[in-house]
Amino acid sequence: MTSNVQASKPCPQFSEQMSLALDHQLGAAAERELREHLRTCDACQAQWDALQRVERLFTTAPLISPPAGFTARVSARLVRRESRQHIVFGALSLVVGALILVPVALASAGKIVRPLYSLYLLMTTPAAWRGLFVITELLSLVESVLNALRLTIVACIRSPGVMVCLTYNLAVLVLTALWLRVLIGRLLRPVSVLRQA
Amino acid sequence: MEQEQVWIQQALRGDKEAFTRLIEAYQTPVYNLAYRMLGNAQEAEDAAQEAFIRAYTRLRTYDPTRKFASWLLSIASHYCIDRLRRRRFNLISLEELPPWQGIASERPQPEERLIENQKRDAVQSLLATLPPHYRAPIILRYWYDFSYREIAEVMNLTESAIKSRLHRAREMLVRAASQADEDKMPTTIGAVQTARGGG
Ligand SMILES: [Zn+2]
Repeated sequence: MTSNVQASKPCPQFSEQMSLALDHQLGAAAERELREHLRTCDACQAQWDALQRVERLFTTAPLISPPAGFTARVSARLVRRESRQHIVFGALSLVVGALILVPVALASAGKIVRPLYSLYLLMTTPAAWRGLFVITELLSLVESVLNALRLTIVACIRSPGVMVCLTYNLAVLVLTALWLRVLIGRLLRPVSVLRQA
Repeated sequence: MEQEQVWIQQALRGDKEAFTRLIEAYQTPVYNLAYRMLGNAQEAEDAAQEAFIRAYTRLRTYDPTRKFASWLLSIASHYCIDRLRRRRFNLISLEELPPWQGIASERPQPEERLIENQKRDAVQSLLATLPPHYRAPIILRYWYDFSYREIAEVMNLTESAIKSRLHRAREMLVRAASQADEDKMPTTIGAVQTARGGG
């Protein structure tokens, strides 16, 4: 039968009709016409037989199930994937937070360097008169920190850009909170791993 | 059907237990699709897992008026097609296919099981001769009993495109089967009728 298929080609006008007939998508009249033709054309009959053998093979092939424990394996992979995403997201928020904090750090650097230098002097040359000088410097540091806090609060309340100010502070708070959540999440992870029956 | 929609709603709210119910319900259809597309258990396992993970992360895009099975199988079949395209060769000739190294060689088997394995072998050898975008419609037609419209929905194609793909795929399968018959390969339809002796 197979050699027939190769000896002469099936007629192209009936080729798609055969596929439709296998899917029961051919109208009654077209199906009659196909049957008529198959009786008279060896090449098409051979093709039809070959198609039906493939059809039988495929329609009797069973659905294959995965090996046992598939659901648990998918769940474990899902948890792994999510915790990895959390770490990436956490690291990203930390970087953004740090970048936002850079201007603040630069602005206050001047205020901090001077008292630190005096502290260094106190450590190296512990003369009594220098001690007095250091104490005044430290007091001035405390004063300037308090002053900065006061200015921030006042600016937040009074400035026309109050929304910008609040948004900025909120952003820093949120980013810090996100980072803390990631840290805490990592610590608690073994507890929250999805359990499988 | 209603229970399924409840699970989907719960999974959308972040309930992973509900999603595991969906995995349990659909593991065989998804795994079978991956196995029939990719031809081996290892890749099928990986692809089926990935399909479920993609479904979970895209669950928000699921339209509840559509059949969940169609949506899920659409994700799985597109993933398998991409995977096959990433492989070096899409078309593997019958000669290049490794002989089936399944459970069959481990211990003596009842004749029924042997024939079953040979049949699976024959089916996979034939499927492997089809390009990926012809393989998927054939699989959806035979193992899922999908209509042309349903296959078109899954594949993102028109019904007439599916009609012609099924037609051309069948012609390719017939050619591959007769080629295999001629070469007297052990993985042909003819071999299915004669069970092989020994283990
Ligand atoms: Zn003809």
